[in-house]
Amino acid sequence: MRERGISHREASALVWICVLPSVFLLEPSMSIARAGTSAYLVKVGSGLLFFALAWWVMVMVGRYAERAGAFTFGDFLAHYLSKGVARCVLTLWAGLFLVHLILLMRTVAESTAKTALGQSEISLPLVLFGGAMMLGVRYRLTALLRTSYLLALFAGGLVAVLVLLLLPMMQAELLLPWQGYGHAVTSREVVFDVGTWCAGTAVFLLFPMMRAEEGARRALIGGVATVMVIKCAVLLSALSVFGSVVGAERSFLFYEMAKLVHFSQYIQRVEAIFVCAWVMVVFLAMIVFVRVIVMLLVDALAVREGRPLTMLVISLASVCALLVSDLASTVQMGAMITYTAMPAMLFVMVGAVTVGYVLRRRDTCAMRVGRND
Amino acid sequence: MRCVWVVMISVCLLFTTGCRSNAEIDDYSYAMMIGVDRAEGETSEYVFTYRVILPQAFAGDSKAKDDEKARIVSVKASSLSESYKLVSLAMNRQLNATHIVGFVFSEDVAKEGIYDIVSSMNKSVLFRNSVVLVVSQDSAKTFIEKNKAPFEVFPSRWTESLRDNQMRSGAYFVSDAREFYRRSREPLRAGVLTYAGVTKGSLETKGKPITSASEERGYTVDSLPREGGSEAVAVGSAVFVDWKMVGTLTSAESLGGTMLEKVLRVPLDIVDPRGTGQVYSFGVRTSLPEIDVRIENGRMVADITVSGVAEMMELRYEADEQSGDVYALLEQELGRAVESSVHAYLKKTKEWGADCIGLANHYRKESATLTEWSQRDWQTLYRDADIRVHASIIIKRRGYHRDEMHGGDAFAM
Repeated sequence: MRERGISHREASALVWICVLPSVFLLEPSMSIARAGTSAYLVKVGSGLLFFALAWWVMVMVGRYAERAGAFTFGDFLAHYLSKGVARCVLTLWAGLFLVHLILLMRTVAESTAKTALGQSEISLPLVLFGGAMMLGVRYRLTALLRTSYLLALFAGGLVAVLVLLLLPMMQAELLLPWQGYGHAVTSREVVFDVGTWCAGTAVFLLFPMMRAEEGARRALIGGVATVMVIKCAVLLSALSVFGSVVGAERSFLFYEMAKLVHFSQYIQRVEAIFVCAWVMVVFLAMIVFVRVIVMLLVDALAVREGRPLTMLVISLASVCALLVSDLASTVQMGAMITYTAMPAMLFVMVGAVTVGYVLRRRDTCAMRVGRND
Repeated sequence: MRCVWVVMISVCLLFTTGCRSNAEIDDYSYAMMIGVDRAEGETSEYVFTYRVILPQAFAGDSKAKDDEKARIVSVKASSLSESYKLVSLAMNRQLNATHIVGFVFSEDVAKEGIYDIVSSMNKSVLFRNSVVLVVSQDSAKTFIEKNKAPFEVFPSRWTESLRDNQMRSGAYFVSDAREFYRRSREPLRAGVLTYAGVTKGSLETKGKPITSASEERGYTVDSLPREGGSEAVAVGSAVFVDWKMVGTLTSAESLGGTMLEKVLRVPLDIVDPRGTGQVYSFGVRTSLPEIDVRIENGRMVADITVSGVAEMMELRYEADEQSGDVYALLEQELGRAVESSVHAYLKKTKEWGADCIGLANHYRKESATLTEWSQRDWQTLYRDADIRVHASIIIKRRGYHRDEMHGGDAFAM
């Protein structure tokens, strides 16, 4: 599973494809339920916070890369923490991506069963997605990411069209008060909402595969900025069309907004086009998640070949997705994991690596000073 | 390996693109409009009337008459989903509800409350939230039976023309399921729908045109002086508080309300303020009003400024009408007519505590938090509100009148 170098555009698409799918599913309504009318500001705040954390990790990885030569993210963690801790962190991180994949599979299967495959059991879309992922995962990560940035134009364009078509239904007053439930709640939500960006950590997990350090940073700026704009556009539209009360009680707000679009009596049910974009984005994201999980496991378990793990990961994700009883449980579990476990893991990991980095630097400086004395 | 891929792609094309369970359009019947009446003698059941279109009858070589293209089916059921099942059984084709464009409630049902039906429709995947909701003065079944607009077969055209006519007349509010549900779910707890009915009027019926300066003015379904066309008409609006209909607005009162939430292009007739008895017809284009809402000593105070541009509908050549003084008088009179309509709307809705257009939403920018805004008792505040209305209408295109250009008799050489 050796990958050739990832360019900065592909890395940008990596952030985009990992973070954006949830915007088409449950994230907008969950954000409105938690932050009210300040949900879009929370997205800006959490995006900036994630950007700062990711930038800092990249700085540390970049410093390590200067003297390490060829390395993996596991080597970097092992250098600053220890081999055992590094393996634990990588396994936990793979678990985090796996949980994210399971929730994504279940949510998209629920939405497919509710819309396109109205008469089918939930297991059918899950089996279909699992089978299709088995095929899709055969492609190289770079090929998937190139497809992602081509898809970004299509999906981003459709979001822009949706926003424009909904303009006559929007009411600016519904976006106020801008503080939502108050400064304290908004600030707290900014921290918790970093969880919705956690899948974007793939950009620094795959840093060792990137062609240039500078390109990785540009990718981070581009990816986070694009996703932030799309997230804010969707939330602003949802709030100004549905308001904070109805916006919080609907599950698939993006689909509901697409259903409101009316071109003319001769062009009806245009939500089908929007559903196409969202299915392609989610499907591609699931394949990328599988690739990232396998890479993390290969690094953590120090095995040479990751291909045998692929089928295991997909089967495990499909079976676990079936274990969740219904959409309400998925929403509950998703909220708990996204807004609690994920930000906690991110902050702990970055904090631990930072402590290791500072201690190492102090030791290095002390050794240099001792040598000079 | 290539062979495996070809087989896989072929399987995908055959099984995932709808080839396996495809259905011809003729296999479907499409529900276009649903009416809801209260079942006689039953308190918990409704009579649902579906207007169903058969696509086969619209085929190019079909010789079906207009009456044969659509069927009207009524069923007695306790919920919307049950009625859907029953109508599906009654049709020998698969019933499809995604093209429903109108939902008609009888006045009785509206007065009892429509939360159950609107809520289930809003959350159902069967229906679209862009469905227009209408309250019928008569039974919903009668309304659907009589709703045969000339030149139109599809009720979708009727609902589309409903929106167009609203922009051109302001004679009623139009709300879709999303808008009505949102307004009723938010702390203002008020909504407004189109009020319609089967007109019993004739040319002898005495209507009250908008030019009248009296308090009670505007048309209602019963007072519409007309003959011919569809018997089913929409005039006025039905106002809801807490999901229950509390009263109706005439066309003029509705005009006052719609001016506060939409950009309109409406005809407005005014009587010459100089007492000549002459009626001047204007086309008035209003912009969205400036609304400033504040709370003073526990009382809601609102300043509303309606601005617009008027254009004379006919070319007049009387020399004295082209002077600046006459224009100023006409502009003042137009402003008074608009203010009067808005006041008429506000007077009625304040009595009911129904802030249908969401004046309270303009106070959101003054509130620190959403909780602070939503915890206020907006119904009481609106009922006791001090609302000041100022209308400023400017007459444009004065230069069209020749004598204005020449400063004298239009036909003087």
